[in-house]
Amino acid sequence: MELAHTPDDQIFREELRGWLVEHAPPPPPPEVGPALRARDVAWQRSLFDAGYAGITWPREYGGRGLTLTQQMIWYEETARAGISHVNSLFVGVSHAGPTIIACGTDEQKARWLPPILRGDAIWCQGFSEPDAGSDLASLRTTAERDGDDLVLNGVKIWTSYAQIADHQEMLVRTDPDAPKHQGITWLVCDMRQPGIEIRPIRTLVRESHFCEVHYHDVRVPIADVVGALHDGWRVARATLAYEHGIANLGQQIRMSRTVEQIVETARARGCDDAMWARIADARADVASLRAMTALMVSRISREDLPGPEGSLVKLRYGEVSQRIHELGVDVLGVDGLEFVADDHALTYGYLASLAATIGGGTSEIQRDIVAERLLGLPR
Amino acid sequence: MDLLPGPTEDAAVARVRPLLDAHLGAVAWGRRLRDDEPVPPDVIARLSAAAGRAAGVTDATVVAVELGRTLAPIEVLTAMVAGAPAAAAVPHPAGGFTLFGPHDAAVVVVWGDEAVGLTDPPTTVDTRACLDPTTPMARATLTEGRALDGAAAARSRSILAGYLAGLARGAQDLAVEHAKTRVQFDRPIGANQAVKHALAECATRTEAAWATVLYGATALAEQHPEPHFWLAAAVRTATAAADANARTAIQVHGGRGYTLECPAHLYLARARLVTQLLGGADRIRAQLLGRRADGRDLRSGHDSPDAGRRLPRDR
Ligand SMILES: Cc1cc2nc3c(=O)[nH]c(=O)nc-3n(C[C@H](O)[C@H](O)[C@H](O)COP(=O)(O)OP(=O)(O)OC[C@H]3O[C@@H](n4cnc5c(N)ncnc54)[C@H](O)[C@@H]3O)c2cc1C
Repeated sequence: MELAHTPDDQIFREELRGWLVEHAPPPPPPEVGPALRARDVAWQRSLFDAGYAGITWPREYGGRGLTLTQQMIWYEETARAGISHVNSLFVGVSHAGPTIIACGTDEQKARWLPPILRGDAIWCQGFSEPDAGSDLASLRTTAERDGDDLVLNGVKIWTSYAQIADHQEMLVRTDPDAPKHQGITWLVCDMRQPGIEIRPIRTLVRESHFCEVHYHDVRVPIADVVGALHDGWRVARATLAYEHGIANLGQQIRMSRTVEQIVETARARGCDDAMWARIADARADVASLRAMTALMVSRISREDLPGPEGSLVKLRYGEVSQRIHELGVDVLGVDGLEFVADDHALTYGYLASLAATIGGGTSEIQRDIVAERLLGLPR
Repeated sequence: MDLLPGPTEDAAVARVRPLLDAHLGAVAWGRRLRDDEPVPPDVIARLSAAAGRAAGVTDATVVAVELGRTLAPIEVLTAMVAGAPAAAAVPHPAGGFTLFGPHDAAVVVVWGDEAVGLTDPPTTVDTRACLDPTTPMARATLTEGRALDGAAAARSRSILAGYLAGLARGAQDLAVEHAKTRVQFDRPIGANQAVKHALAECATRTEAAWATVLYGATALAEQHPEPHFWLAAAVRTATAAADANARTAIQVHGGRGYTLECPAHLYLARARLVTQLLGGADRIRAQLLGRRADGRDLRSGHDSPDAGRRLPRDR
């Protein structure tokens, strides 16, 4: 047991911190469109050029092959520099990429991984459907075999950044007769082809980053299936576990900045003892999340794939995020009613935090996972 | 003792309900949010006139519950205080006021810490975006106003408390409806104990808010020895219920709850807005500690200074 970082880690941190002073990206534009894409792509490219992309990814695909601890340091330092990780790069870098590393063929890795790291391709995630959210395995978008292609028909929903994505990691039904978890396939769909219709949906923070996506006879080569045909549920489980585990690290770390922001606001505006008591609790909450994350990283470093413990972090993160952001708008008093279209603003954070117990699997579902898989309670 | 609404209150509610059901409520709000469509001015005028006829404290409070339940715009609520559709304002700590509702309304109802007053339209207006996308918001300068007497001021707070209890109920209804109809894992999501219990807690908070609001309004109407304590208790219970129920409604809607066109978030933003009209949670708590029948401050045992009484005037 130790907290101290190795000299290598320390050097990594200092170099990255220095680099970020010069190279932090401009804030993202408020709406999802070409300007946001250009900003995110340029940021990823500059990370890649400086050797700060794909920290834990294999070297042969453009990664650095470093440790998870260094990945955590990367999240800490970029979050410290005020850089948001919930952007159009998220799915490629933290979701589809890791899945392809875990389950893809060498050819697929060579084809898809380097462009993600270089910022040449934006990815999105098409899992949820209008009638398949928490019950993801009931998804109905079909993919029928036609020669060397699969032909897709159906609807996906809540697909973040679909409007600027090049590729989409998708779950589709390839065997309608099999039990629901068995007829599913994980594949990669080219988003820039005919038959795909994208309808943006407005969110509480008044942008439209997620979309409803319709597929009419969309063709995907069999070569773009990851894992075996009909084996998509297993492939997706790897991705979901990853998402619940460490993919939200950046957001978690950013919350300590939010608490500092709240302290400054409280000091400047003045607030009563009850509010300071809540601020005290918020500081402990953030510390506990950080410790949980460190524990998680330590565990994965020894055991490789994240286990159901990831759900504990996600649950706690959702709760703490909402508690802290509510405190933020409470400290602002009547100004807490003013919506500011900037993701660093406390009121923006408040509204955005309402999704923290929904996106990526709701808290109710996480509690089931903890109760059943971790505690062994009956289903 | 009979806490339930009687013929006067029932008649007052009957005057607004058809209008509310026809033009407001969750379904109509869903459409408005999707199409950015405001509530038609004639609906506001008719609703304000109907609601404004509830002249007492109990009938007005019960009408306000209906307004909250259906998310009636803020100017309809203020019409019950001002007699005509009005904007609402609170003093801003940095000077001036924060204004909610139509900036061009003929009257502004200003909720100070405890005093309430009416003023002319603002002399300067600096528009802001509100957490509640359907309510205009601004920083504004107001001229001297005229303060309502103590009974009218208390009535106006009871109306706000009623509105909050109504918000709690409306958010609950929205969530319950969704839980009954949304199917996942081959059954309505409301069949799951996690969802059931969350909604049962909503119902408990709604009932607590409704009961305390009725109690508070009746205490004011009857010159009960501690009307201000009961009013403060109603306000506190209703603010908590409205906030928590709205958050449950968002959660129960899953991804839909995070969209602009699902009205769940309107209940939340409106709850926070009305809580601020009432001075914010800390002022509300202070009233619960500082206002016993004998006028003594609960913590010190000394006479409670009337420091909270700040008349609406520009600073
Ligand atoms: C900001 C945001 C971004 C997103 N981005 C993406 C994306 O890029 N790609 C993608 O595929 N998806 C995305 N999602 C979708 C997300 O994964 C789903 O919203 C989530 O899985 C819930 O599904 P649902 O919305 O259908 O809600 P539902 O499943 O309908 O759930 C509604 C309510 O019922 C509860 N519930 C359901 N089943 C049970 C049960 N068995 N027991 C107890 N309670 C239950 C839920 O907890 C919830 O409170 C995003 C969501 C959000 C909010």
